[in-house]
Amino acid sequence: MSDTSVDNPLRVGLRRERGVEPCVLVIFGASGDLTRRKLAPALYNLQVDRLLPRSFAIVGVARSPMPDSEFRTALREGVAAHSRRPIDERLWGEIEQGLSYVPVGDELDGFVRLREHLERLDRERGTSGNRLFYLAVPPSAFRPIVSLLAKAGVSEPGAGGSWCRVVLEKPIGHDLASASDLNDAINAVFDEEDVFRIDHYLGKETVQNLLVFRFANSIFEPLWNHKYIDHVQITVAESIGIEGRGRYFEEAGTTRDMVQNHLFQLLCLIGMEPPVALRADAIRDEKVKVLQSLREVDPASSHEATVRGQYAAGVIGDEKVIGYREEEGVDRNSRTETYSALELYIDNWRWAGVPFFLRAGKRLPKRATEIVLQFSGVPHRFFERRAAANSLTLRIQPDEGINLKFDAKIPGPKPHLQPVSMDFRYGSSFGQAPPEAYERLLLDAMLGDSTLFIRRDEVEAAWSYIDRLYEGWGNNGPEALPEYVSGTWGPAEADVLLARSGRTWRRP
Amino acid sequence: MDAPSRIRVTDLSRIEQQLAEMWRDVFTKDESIVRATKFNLIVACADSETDLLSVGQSLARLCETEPGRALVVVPPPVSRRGGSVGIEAWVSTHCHRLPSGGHACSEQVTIEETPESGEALESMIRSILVQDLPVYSWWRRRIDQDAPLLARLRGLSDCLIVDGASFDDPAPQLARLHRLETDRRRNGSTVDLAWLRLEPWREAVASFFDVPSLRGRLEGLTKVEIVSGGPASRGVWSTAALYLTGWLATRLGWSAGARPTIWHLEDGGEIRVLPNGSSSIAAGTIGSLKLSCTGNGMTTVFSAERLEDDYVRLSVEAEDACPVPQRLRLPHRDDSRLLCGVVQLHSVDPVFDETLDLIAGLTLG
Repeated sequence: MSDTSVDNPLRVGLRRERGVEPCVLVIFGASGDLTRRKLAPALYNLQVDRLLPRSFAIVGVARSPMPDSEFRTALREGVAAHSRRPIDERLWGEIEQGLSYVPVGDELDGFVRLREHLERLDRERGTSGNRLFYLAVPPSAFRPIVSLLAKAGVSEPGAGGSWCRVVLEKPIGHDLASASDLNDAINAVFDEEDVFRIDHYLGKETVQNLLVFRFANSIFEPLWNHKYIDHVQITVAESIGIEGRGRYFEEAGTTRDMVQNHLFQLLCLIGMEPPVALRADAIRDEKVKVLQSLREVDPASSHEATVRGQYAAGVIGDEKVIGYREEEGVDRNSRTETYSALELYIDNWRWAGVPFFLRAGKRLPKRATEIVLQFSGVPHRFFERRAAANSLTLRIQPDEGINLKFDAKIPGPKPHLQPVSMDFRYGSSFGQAPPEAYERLLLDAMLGDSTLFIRRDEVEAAWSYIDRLYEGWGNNGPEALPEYVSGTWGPAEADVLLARSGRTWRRP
Repeated sequence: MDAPSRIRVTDLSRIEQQLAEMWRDVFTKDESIVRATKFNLIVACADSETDLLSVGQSLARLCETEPGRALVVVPPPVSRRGGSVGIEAWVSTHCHRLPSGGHACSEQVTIEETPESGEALESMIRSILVQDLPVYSWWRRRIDQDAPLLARLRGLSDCLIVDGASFDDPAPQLARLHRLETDRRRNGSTVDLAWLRLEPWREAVASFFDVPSLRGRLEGLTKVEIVSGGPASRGVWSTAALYLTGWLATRLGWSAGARPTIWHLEDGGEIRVLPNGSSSIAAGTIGSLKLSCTGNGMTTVFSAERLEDDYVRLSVEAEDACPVPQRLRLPHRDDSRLLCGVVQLHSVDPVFDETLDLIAGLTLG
């Protein structure tokens, strides 16, 4: 991590003790959806919050030729449509004057032109040779881009302590072998400390709040173990389908697309031990230990601890939707899952014997991401009406907040109990909308702070577990996946997964 | 939503009970109302008319995000001065709509003091503070160390809030604030809203030196020019100008010279600080800040200049620096926003303490 800004004596005591050094953000995939919907609004909001450096430029890179003006217009439209704050023309003007576009294909000469362009920006805008390459492109393009950046001499930090970093969007590989190969190729050009693998979930305030909730409050952590917790549920539900990404999704499936990254990251944050410090590697060391502690899955019996399914036609809200196998780009006999539920165990001292139930799916009744810690029941029950077990729900999205459910006595002469809840809502408690995940992640990448990014060993440990599941599914899975009607909570088999131990899924 | 009307408290010894009765009536009429309290805020208003009105508006905005119980102490109106009538009080509410539906309401108790009400007033305030919640006192009068109410509020509160922007004679007022502050450091803290308003300026100036190649030029700093707002009668040194100078001095290791316009470095170097007042800029705000540095036969000028509205232009003039200026928008920071920040994130600010230590000893002459 670059610490030069820490030495700025005027930063001492300010809320932002580190400022971003002058730099150029180079976006590969500049004409794509991610750039328009997420990156441009995030950059604009960083500008509003005075977090971008004085000497800053954005270079869009894609295959098609495009004049700078067209690129500027496209980004402006993205900001106008997707920013959490209305556009202020004068502040947008500040960003716009540093926007340019360079068409680059698969040939080396395009990358040489890019290098020359960046060198010109260093002279004209004082960007000091610092570059952040953001690869908002399909993963298959990561390797050739990184290789050509190296060949053209664009990825080499210049003299005077300048830096070059790369940001990669998920997925990093589609199994352990491909992830390792890709990581090798990336690390051949960029040191691991300069590689920023994004899981945008980690940029969400509510996800970051998990660490605060656990390690800054003394009342919960003593209960955070097998003695008091019966089981944990992690749900990432989407009401949308595959949104025209049939070809991609057929290769991926929900387990690779959601479980390997988002759900496993949430699992790590819930399951990890306290880090020794709030440092990137201290936190990531603890996260990777969780993944390494996952009980090995025997491929032969992987279908017993997992449920996969595909959505069938149904109704979401008031809209009729088609089934997965009717979607464009999807094989009519597809065995790719749009729903995945897993029962897994973290075999360590803290979590011995506690099942973690993870589920993710598309075309479920609503969009909701939440973690539920279901506490064990009281050891001896003497109330006439049975007491319900306590639960703590951490809502990641939407309606971010925390809910603690416990029993209370219904007023009256008899000791009848009723569950009541205590609610904390992010929005109403702090009275302001939290920044978008990409704002935080872009800022951290520019600052060189990798705390909220995935380290190579995390990615590979997660794939190692997922690979064994796929091995089992490939050899022992059913011919066709169970279907669930769109707008329902997944296949009935997922309910059975919990029911056999007397448990049920929580309805978000 | 219409706030329930202001209700006069008829029995001061039962004020808490009367509050509870008022809320019970409110809840009966509208079940969607939530009464919320995160802190106590005692406000000593400068007068019972314009200042009370201004405080009421700030509290209403503050309570939109930070609900609390406000105890507002006002001097009696001219018509009641000299009379023998005792303390009077009213209760009222500030309500705002919640995103999830319903309303969250905070309460305000307005207390009209009398010259003789000292102990009784303190006792009354003490009795209606919500227990186990932090107590902030917002002092909106001149800082007079002998003011009995100020002494009482210091004893009651965890944090004393003042606003140096209102100081007509900043140097002696800041010196008095410093004496209060150093007394308090053992068991409380002091916040000056004028200092908090400067944070975006301090950030903007600091951002020049996030560029490693420019950071070394701070060693060659020879001249600082500050333009700040306020009437000419206040002189060239405003509270904001003093704070900015003190901040630079503490961060860069300057020691004070014979005059506040001359500062010294350990190596014998000298820095001139040239303050200027401008009546065209609102009191308490900065118009521009310019740092001139020399070294290696070259002069570099770092400028932060307020433009129209709340925009600031940052620029660096040097042969080898990026000539592209940057435009920033300063965050909107009215009193309610600043108070909100104090309530949400308040902690002791050692840089403020060091700055106040330094400038309290200055004689402006």
